[in-house]
Amino acid sequence: MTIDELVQQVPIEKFVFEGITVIRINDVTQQEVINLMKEKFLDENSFSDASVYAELETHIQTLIGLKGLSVGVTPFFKINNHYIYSDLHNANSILFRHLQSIAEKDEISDYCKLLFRDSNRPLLFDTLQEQVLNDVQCLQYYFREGARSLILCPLKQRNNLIGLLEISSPEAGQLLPLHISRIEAAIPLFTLGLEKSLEHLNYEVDKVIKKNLLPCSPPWNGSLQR
Amino acid sequence: MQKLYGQVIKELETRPELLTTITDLSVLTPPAELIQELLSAVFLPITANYMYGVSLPFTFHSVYASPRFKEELLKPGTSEIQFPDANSRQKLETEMKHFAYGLILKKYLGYNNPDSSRFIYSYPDNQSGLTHYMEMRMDGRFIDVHPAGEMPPLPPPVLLISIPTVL
Repeated sequence: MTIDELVQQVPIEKFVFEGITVIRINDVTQQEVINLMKEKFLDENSFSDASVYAELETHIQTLIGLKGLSVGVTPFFKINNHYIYSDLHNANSILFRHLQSIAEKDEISDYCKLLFRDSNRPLLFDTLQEQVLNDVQCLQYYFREGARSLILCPLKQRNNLIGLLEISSPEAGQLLPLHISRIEAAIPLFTLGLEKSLEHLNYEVDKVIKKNLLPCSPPWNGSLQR
Repeated sequence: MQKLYGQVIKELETRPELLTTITDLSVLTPPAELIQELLSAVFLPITANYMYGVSLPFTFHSVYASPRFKEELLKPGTSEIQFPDANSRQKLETEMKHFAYGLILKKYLGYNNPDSSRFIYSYPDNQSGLTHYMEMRMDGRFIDVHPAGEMPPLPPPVLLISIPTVL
């Protein structure tokens, strides 16, 4: 029996409720946003679906507590030791937004891997000034995109950098260390999302290889052919 | 306990209208201070900034609300609970229905249902422009249920297996 069948069989009007309901209300924004993000990341196309991505950006803004932040994800997907730059997956990258050539992207991807080689901790650049722009090569691309305050979170799979979560503010000094602690629970979800995207990309590449190359292979003479 | 609540009990005893079933809510208005004292046993005074209230079971009618509850959840000038968006009211109605049947099944069929129910709604913060998520916990320990007339026949428990314990 379902609840609707129960409602039909035993109408609520046949009962009287006496007493009081004590109501308590708590702000559960942090937990709820993480739950909503988990639901989104269960969808394997979370990084390629623009509407899903817009929601994720809003969720990050809510976690941090600041409106007007830009959130990006730059994947560093490698298949057979070559970087793969798919428009579908790079559409939400701040770092790659204006990089056209593959050589430039390769160089900056290698640089980021080096930057986070020994660290799994997010990096905070509370104010992007000339000095720090000169010291950290990739920051100029964020500066050109209007970032004046920036958090870069490494997304790693078995100690290998597979992407960056980028949170940028147009206001210098706006992002602070406390904001990193607010998003820490969300970082593994972005890693999970990237892993799923990478898995999907591998599957798609395999499919193309099988479709285009297998007809040229020698015929299978085992039981499968039969 | 006698020292702490003796005065409150004495005062209650002078108001017999509060010692029986209350159907006319206007009787709660004159002894507002006494009601406040009674509620301080449930809501500690240090939680003044928290959101809490008391409502009639499974209705949107509040009989008591903390200042913040009043400001954020009551329709101005009334005691009606209203949500910032229409969807939330509908969701809460469904939640209330489930909770009410949970209490019936618990009392009459010994179903193992919880005493409280939770419901999450979104609340736009106009100052920051962001959305907050609020959890409303309804405590059913002060609710009693009984049949309005003759006890309606309830389905045998074996048929209710498919209804989850937390309704």
